[in-house]
This record gives sequence, C-alpha cells and structure tokens, in this order.
Amino acid sequence: MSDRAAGRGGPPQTREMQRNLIAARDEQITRVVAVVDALADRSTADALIAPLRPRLQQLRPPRPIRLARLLFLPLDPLIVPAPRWRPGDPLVPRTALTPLAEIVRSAAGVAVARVEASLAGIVCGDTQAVADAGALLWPAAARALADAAPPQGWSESGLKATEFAPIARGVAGVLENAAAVRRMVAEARQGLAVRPEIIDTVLEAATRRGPEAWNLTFAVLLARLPDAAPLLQRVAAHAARGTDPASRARAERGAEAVLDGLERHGPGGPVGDAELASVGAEVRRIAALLEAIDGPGATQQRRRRVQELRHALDASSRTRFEEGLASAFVAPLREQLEAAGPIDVPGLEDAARRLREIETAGRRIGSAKAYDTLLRGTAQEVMRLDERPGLSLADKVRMVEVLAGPDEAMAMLGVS
Amino acid sequence: MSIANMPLVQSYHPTTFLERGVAVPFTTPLLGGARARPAERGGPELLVPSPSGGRGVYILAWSGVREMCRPTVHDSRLNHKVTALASVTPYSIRKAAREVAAEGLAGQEALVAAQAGRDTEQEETLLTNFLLLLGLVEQMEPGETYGSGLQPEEKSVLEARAKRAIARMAPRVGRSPEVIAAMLEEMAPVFAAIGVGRQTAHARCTRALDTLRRLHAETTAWSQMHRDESGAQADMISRVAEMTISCTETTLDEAHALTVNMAGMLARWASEAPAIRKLTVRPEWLLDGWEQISLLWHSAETDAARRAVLAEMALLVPIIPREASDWVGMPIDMDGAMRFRRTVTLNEDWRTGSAVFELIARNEHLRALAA
Repeated sequence: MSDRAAGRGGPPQTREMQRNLIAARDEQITRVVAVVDALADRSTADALIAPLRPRLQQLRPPRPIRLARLLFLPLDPLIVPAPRWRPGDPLVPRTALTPLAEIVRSAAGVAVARVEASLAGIVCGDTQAVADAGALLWPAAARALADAAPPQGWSESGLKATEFAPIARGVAGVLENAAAVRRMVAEARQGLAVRPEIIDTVLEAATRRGPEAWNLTFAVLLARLPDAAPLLQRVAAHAARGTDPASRARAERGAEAVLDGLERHGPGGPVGDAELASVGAEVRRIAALLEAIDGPGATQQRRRRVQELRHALDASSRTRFEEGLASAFVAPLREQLEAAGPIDVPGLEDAARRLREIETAGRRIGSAKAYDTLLRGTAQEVMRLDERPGLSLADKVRMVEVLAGPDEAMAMLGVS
Repeated sequence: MSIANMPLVQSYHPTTFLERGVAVPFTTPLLGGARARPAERGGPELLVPSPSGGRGVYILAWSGVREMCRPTVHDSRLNHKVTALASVTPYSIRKAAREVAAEGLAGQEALVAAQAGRDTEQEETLLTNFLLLLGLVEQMEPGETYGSGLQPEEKSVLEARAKRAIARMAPRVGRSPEVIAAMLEEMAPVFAAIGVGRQTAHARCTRALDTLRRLHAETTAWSQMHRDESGAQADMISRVAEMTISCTETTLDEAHALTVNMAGMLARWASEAPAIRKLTVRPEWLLDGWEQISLLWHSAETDAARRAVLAEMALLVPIIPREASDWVGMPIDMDGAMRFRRTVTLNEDWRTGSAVFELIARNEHLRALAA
C-alpha cells in the first residue's frame, strides 16, 4: 500500500482503526502516539495517526524527537498529505519524507550517528537541544540530498520519478539554511528586529540551490516569521535592483500558495487547530502576513481573498477566545469554587494572560467590542466573588487586572 | 502629552549616586530600568529609559509615567510607597518593594518570596548583632573563639564574657553598658548587608557581588564568541560590570575593616555614626541595578533569548557616577566603557503589544527571585 493511498483512507482495517482512534480519549491518544514514536519504522503507523494531527496539535504530548522528525522540523509548516501536493507547489508531500530520510541515513552516516546519540532523552520542546542537534544534522543532510538520485522504492511514495529531484533539491535548500532561519525566527519571536542582511544571506544561498530551494525557503520564512513585511521588502528590493529579477514572480507564487493553505483551514478557521497558548501569536502572525501580501501592487482578486481571510481570522480568533475564556478560565474557576478547595490563582492568571494575548492580536482585525464585553463581564464576575482562604482581595485584583486592565483593578482597591 | 513631547535628557551623566537614583523594581515592561531620586522640589522623581531603546532618559513625575503607559497595580502601589519615603536609598526601595510584593500584588510567588526575604533579613540582622558583640568580646577578652553552634554551657560563658566586655568598654566611650548594647543593636542593620566576620561570605552584598562576577565571566565569554551586535552589547555590560566589581571590592574591604577594631568603632560610632553608615552603604549603591540585569541574563534559556535579554540588559546598565572615583581613589573611565553602547533595534510590539502580558509575568517572576 502506498502512503498516497493511505492518505485517502487506506484499506478497511486501517479506516476502522482510525475511526477508533478519533473516538479515543486524550490519554489513550497520548499512549498510542508514544507507541508510534517508539517504532523504528513508523511510516505505516504515521498514516494511521494522520487524522489525529489537528488534535495532537492541541494535546501537545511530550514527544521524543527522533531523527526523521528533527530532520524535517525546518519544513514542518510545508509538509502536506500527498493528495494535496502538486508539482511546483512550495510544499512537501508527506510520503516523500521516509525515502528522503533513508538517503540521509546512508549518505551522511557519521553525522547521523552523532546526532542520534545526542537525541537520547530530548523531547520536541527542548528548544536549545533541538537547535544544537539540528545544526549538526541539517547541513550534512542538505549535502546528501542536493544531488541525490531517486532511491529504490521511491515509487512507494506514490510520487513520480521525475518529481524526486525537484523535491530533494528544494528540501536540501531549506536544510542548508535551517539553522540560520531557525535563529532568525527565534530572535524575531523574542522581540528582536529581523536583520535584512540575514534575510539576504538566506535567500541568496537558496537562489544558488535553484528555484525549488528558493520557493521552499521563502515559504518557510513566510510561515514562520512573526512579521513577513521585512522579508517581502527584501525580496522587492532584490527584484528592483536586478540582483534577483525572478524573485518577485516567485514570491507572488509563494504568496498565492500561502493564501491557498490558509483557505484550506479546518472548521475552526485559520487558528482553529492551534493550542490556546499560541493562538495569540498565530493570529498576530497571520494578520501581519495578510497585511504584508496585500501591498500596493495587489490585484483585485488578491485583495478579495485577503479580505475574506481576514474575516475568517477574525471569526476564528474570536471563537477561540470565547472557547478559551469558557474552558480555561470560567469553568475551572467555577469548579474550584464549587469544590471549596484551593483556587489555582497562578493557573487562572496564566490562562487570563493567554486570553489577553489573543484579544490584543484579535482586536486589530476586528471584534474589539465583543472582546471587551466578554472580558469586562468575566472581570465583573471575579469582582463579585467572596474572599475566602485561598482567594484574597489581592488575588481578585490581579485577575481583574489581567482581564480588564489596571484601572479597573485599582478601583477595587478604592484608588482611581 | 505624548512621549515625543516629554523631556528626554539625551546626555545623562550623573555625578553622584543620589543623582543617578535607585533602581525601582517595577513590573510594567516600559518602566524597566526606571530609577527614583529626590526631586529638587521635594519628593522623588523617576528617571525612565527611553522606551524606543534609544539613548537618554525621561525625568518624570508619576502623572507623566501614566501618560507614557498603563502601570500595573503593583507599580502604582510601589510608587505610592516610594513617594512616602523619607530618603531614597537602595535599602529603602528594597524594603518598599518587598512590602508591596508581600501584599500579593506581584503574584503569589513574589508574595511568598517577599515574606521569606523579610524573615531572612531579620535573621541576618540578628546574626550581625551577635557577631558585632562577639567581635567586641574577642577583642576585649582574647581567648576562646566560638563556632556557629554554641552548646548551652558555652552560651552562659559567652554571656558572662559579653557583659564584662561591654562593662569594660563603657567607660572608654563615656557611655553606660546599656547604651553600648543599644549601639551594637543600631549597628546591626547597618552592617547586615555587608556582613561581619565569618558572616561576610554569606552577606547580601557578597552574594550580589558573586552573582555579578558570574555575569561578568559569562558576558565576557559571550562577547568573545559572538562578533555581532549581541557581542558588542555583552562586551559593554562586561566592561561596566568589571569596573563595578572592582569598586565594590574596594568599598567592601574598607567597610569590613571597620569591624576589625570593634572597640575603636564603638568609640567612633558615638560621634561618627552617619559617616560610618555612608561607608557601609557604598557597596549597595555600587551594586544597585545589577541584580535585575543578572536575573534577566540567567532567566534566558536559549541563545535567541540571550540575544534578546542582552539588548534589554544593555539599556539597564547602571552608569557609574564620578563620585565613585572619590570613593575608590582612582579614575573611572565610564565613557570608554559605554562607548560601545548601541541603540537597540526592537520590534514595535516589544513591551507594548501582546508580549506585554508575558513580560509582566516574567518581571513578577524576577521579583520573586530578587526578594
């Protein structure tokens, strides 16, 4: 059975198991994923858990990082089920990953052995350890893939032989610059401005690897950077100066592909699958991306698509906010009050902060009144709570401060 | 009034430590690095680093701060306490900050830490009182020395020796034994921060100095490994840290020397208490502001986070006033060290957008670590 076939649902036994998994409880899913993570060859098992990916994004079980996951981590936002992939798309079909990983294993054995030894005990969330291991693996893998021939069994991927080289070259281009891109994105997420010279270095290196590499690298940057504007400005500058005249057209195609991807969101909208803690950052990133690709030269059709996506993002953000407020703040607070046990004030404060991050990002694209109403209503509910052991006036003041702001909280202390 | 219309002092070179002001541990991100100092017209004023990350400071009353940003409840309360202070010193600001944190307004973690910090300080003061007395006893009646754990019989022997030592000391300074005992109690909080005798290795200032030495070593290493903007920032921090360490060591030695001759110091205390106080607080003035910088550095767990905090730390580095040259008896080339201070390029959202909630939580966590 090819994975492309598996992507369509696979044989009846597989479909039955997938149905069972979809109905499983969170802890059961976590156990299944742990078993899959421990398999040496997980290609078939991967297909089995494919329908769970959105739920796994929410559950975020601590998953050990294995070689294949580390190898393709830089391409994560571009990996799609094989049926969604078309030649020339700035995307990577999931069925190509196993054969590509095999090439790296056999061609870069020494580096792979060192990296595998360093991965013991590391989980995906160990940011620095993952970055250190990746910095060893990715350049070696890029060299192994750049000029590789299709491996035996490539047809098992369901992809054509002629599709191998462009995919391998593109992946090699991204991996070659993965450490630099990761660092750039990490710094941008920490509040540091993206340095134009770093963008230039990355794009120039990708250009040398060919158009596939440039397309995938550009798409990765669009998908990862908290603000795409500096990237688009550099691409426009290169095109205007003639240093890379084709880059503007490639960037346009990349932007179209990004819009395609955003339009394919699930029922929860563009941020429907993100875990609550990252919804705010994701709303901010997508909003900045839409603004950046809706520049002065945008066509009417582009404008319409961007506008529709903004509406979808607004609705998705508001929905996640409403759900989060109910499930992560109001419900736990009420349950803890009813149980008459200790109140997890730090936990509630943390949830309130996550919600304010969503609200701050979300109100920039719309629904400001809806956010204000919900936050004020919840803050008033907190103000009305009776103080008791484990819930002091200071605790209430702090929760109100996060939810509604310091002025409202100061008023509780009798200070304006 | 917008920030653009506020009085920005571009060239800020305080002559004295009092003019530099004391670091106030506000939790509002835009108030990071703010300092309080006595205003000419009475009451304190605040010096707030330029929020853009550029050079210069704003000199503001609290009303000006409220036009610049929305301070947290914790900060409003802390400012209220600072305004009521009779004198602005590192000790008085630390005490005020601890009291506000103990109200729970910087979160439960900071509340618990503030209570523990207050208890520790009380214990340290008691211990200092004991060690000052012990120093006097050992000087007046040389003989047996005492370890940290006294047996009951040793305690009664020591009490008797202490009474005799104070009785012999009293006529020398023309005071009653009760007054001598009271003087030792007065001295205890003055010397607690720098420590006395065997306590010096664990005293607040020694701990802070050790932390600064570690920061110096790590920022030096970073500056040597990274030849970029972050390396230049680390280099500047390392240079100023090195000068601060050197000055602090000198002033600590000078202050510790006072307690070597306890009899002499008691004699001086009667007439020179204010001057002795000034000598003992110099290390605290020198170290003021570095705790937050060290905590920021040690809170960063990844290289990206370290680069980000280096940019923030570079804005907070305390300028060493010219007064320090008089204290240590040598010139201090502050301009040379700060020459490499760079204007930091920060994203618009930094400290004001969605990140503000995370930064407040981080600052509250640092408050807990600092208490």
